[in-house]
Amino acid sequence: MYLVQIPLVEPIIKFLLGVPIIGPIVEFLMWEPVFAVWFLPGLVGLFVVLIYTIWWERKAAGRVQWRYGPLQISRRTGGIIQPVSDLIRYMLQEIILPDDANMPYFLHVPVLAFFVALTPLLFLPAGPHLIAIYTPYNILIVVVLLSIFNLAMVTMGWASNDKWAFIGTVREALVYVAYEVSFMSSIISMLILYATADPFKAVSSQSWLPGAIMNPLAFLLAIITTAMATDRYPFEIVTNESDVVAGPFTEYGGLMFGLTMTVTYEKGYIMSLLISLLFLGGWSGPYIWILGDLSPAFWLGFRVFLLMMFFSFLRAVYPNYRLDQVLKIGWKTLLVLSVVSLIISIAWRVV
Amino acid sequence: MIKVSAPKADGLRITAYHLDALLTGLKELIKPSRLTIHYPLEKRWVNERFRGFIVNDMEKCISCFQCAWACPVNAIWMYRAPNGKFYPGIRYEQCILCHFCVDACPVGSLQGTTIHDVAFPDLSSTVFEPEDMANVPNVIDESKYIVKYEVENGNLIMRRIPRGSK
Repeated sequence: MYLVQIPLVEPIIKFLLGVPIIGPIVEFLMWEPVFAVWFLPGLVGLFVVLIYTIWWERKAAGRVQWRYGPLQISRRTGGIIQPVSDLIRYMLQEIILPDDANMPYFLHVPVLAFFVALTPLLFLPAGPHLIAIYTPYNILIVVVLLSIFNLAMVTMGWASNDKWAFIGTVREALVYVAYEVSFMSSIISMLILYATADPFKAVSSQSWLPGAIMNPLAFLLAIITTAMATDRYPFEIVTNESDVVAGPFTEYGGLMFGLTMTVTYEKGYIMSLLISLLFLGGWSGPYIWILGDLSPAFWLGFRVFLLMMFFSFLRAVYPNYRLDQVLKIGWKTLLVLSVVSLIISIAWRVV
Repeated sequence: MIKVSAPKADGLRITAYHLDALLTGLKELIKPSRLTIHYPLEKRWVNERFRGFIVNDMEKCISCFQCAWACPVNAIWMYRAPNGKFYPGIRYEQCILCHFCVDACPVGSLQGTTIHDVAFPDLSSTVFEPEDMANVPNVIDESKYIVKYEVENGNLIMRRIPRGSK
């Protein structure tokens, strides 16, 4: 049983392990798979990224558009606790249930989506000692499990039984088929390049050159398809406010809306983790002694934060494409590019 | 019918456009050229005798009605006082602070002040009767900076001046 070693909090952990009842609990939490699920890259990491990204998205868009963004709540820190106050507001709001909705699905799917869609995090490492379930096929499993999000969104829209939710659902299905092939082939071309679906081997084979330089086309494809998949500008089709209110989430209110809103950010987090592992060299960086096993997680988190910040920043820069334009880009340009990226990867292997 | 089509652009130019857009966004992100004022903490600079809230001195007033005639929006109503004379009262929901009444006053009993932003709790408190016209409203000024807009080399820039230093 491997306990996660963090020299920074070592004395506290040692003391807590000696306390009668708390000791076994702390030992359980510091056990490698449980630590991975609860802290990094699991729930705590996710919530930190969520709060920071939501704040950053509004702040960056505000700055670029000559506004200030969230500021009044905690002026000194630039309003960074605005998402927390939003969460409290969502919790206090009434959850309105439409008469026509299919009630069991309408109520259960957002909650299920929030937790079940986190299953990809079980298979993603945040460092050499931070992984919940290890198999040699982890990356493929993650790519397959990512489709739970789409399933959940389509179910939510269908269960809402509402015009805007239905249009949003159809859009989600159309956009999904447009980006999925290109996303898969950009991942597969990296797997061909490393000749493995094992995240540890993928990271170690990028020790002298990150994957983004080895196959820049696959990296570009992964970036574009992630922007499509997580509903970022310029591909904000599914939840485009001016067209379909909030797409599949239109009928949700209160805490349910909070849950549905975080679903796309969760997806962005998982896909950013995947891109950091496959293209940006994973957790490579100078070892920080004081963080111990968290040092790789720190360097990986740095990359994930940069990626999430980039995807949020796109909102401030781009206008939006129409649905037909997105489908055209997906089926015409990206498909051709994905074939070329596969060829580049095969050429790397052969040469 | 004129058909609008997208401008022709090859892959290289499209990439250049994308990079240009991202760079512009990045530039604004790092150093935004915004001109917004944090209102209660910052106030916009105005001239020293900029038209503001109006007060009336009932001692000087000769009840000549000139202010009520001059008012372009009929914001001034004349109220009969117990001594038989008429005195002006202003409805601030209508008043446009043009100070025509101040100019029209032959004895200088109507006077402008430098108070420009007053908040009222409800509509009825915007009606000022002659007795209310004498006292200046109590204003809590939270501002720490005064913001001045200036044009420099054709660019509009804003300058923050700390409150004390003028």
